[in-house]
Amino acid sequence: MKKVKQKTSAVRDLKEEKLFFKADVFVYFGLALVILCLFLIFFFPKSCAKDEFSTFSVYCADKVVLTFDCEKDNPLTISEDFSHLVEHENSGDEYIITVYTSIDKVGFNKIVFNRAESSAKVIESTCSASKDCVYAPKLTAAGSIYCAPHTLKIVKGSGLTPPTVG
Amino acid sequence: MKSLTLKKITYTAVLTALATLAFMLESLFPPIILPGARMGISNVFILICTLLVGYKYGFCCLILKIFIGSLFSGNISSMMYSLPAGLLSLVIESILLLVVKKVSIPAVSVAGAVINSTVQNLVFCLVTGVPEYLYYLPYLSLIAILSGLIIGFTVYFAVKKLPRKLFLVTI
Repeated sequence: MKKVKQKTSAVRDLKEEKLFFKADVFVYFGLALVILCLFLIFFFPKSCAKDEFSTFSVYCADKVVLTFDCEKDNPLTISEDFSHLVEHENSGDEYIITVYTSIDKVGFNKIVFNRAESSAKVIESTCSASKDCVYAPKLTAAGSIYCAPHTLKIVKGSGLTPPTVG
Repeated sequence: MKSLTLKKITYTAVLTALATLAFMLESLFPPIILPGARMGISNVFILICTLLVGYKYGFCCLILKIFIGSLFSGNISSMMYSLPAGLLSLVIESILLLVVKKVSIPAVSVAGAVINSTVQNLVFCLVTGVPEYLYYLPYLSLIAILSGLIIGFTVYFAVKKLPRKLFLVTI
């Protein structure tokens, strides 16, 4: 009998609950404080205001696959170990490079490098349904794009610098 | 007693299936502004499971959703990031619901969402060795507040509309 009464009071409690309690203020204030600290730590510190880097490096499982130097006439340098897994085509300043994950050439990431803009972007991938690497912003300033399922990393510059947002 | 346990298991199974379906459907859509930012619609069903059936079954729902969802969506590596993040956020939500008690469902959901996105980002940076993604943390937290509020309001109004006989536990 007691258990049923307790259940009814709990049910009544949830069903008659208010949308806002006074204690919510503490929760929201605490979260606002955390976010403010995150902004202070990661957003405001000085970082490379100008883009001093013109070289992109592509890594697969922490091994260098290729480098792309925007300032050179022949910008693309492919590592010997990965030469059988990389295909490239170019038109003007745009270089479209396909990096395959294995010899059967089923899984791949298609990357577009633009020499004039000094930018890189993943345009196509077979990694997963979410394709976070494809939706990552274009890499113009120093930073990186990472494809977790394929362990592919595209890095511009070095060190902790904020990636472009949006 | 047996029928109550059976009801709890059945509710958990149904809510797990719904959470997994929501997770997989969500993974087909592009992320919100930043890579890795999602609405977290599956958390609606996990939170409802916690409120209707209890904390243990809520945790079971969460673990099963992460495991099955990652397998079916073809992104098994995401389990590494979402499992610790999901567990910690549900622990925080359970503490707020059980210990603090006088915190509304939307506030609980917002706290869980922020913890989830923060831990997921931190684990991602640790595992992949790409510290640059830490710079997304403040923006991900802001997006998490928005998604947490939407999920919280959804759960709040769903709980209001559900019939009393569906509530199997006390909080």
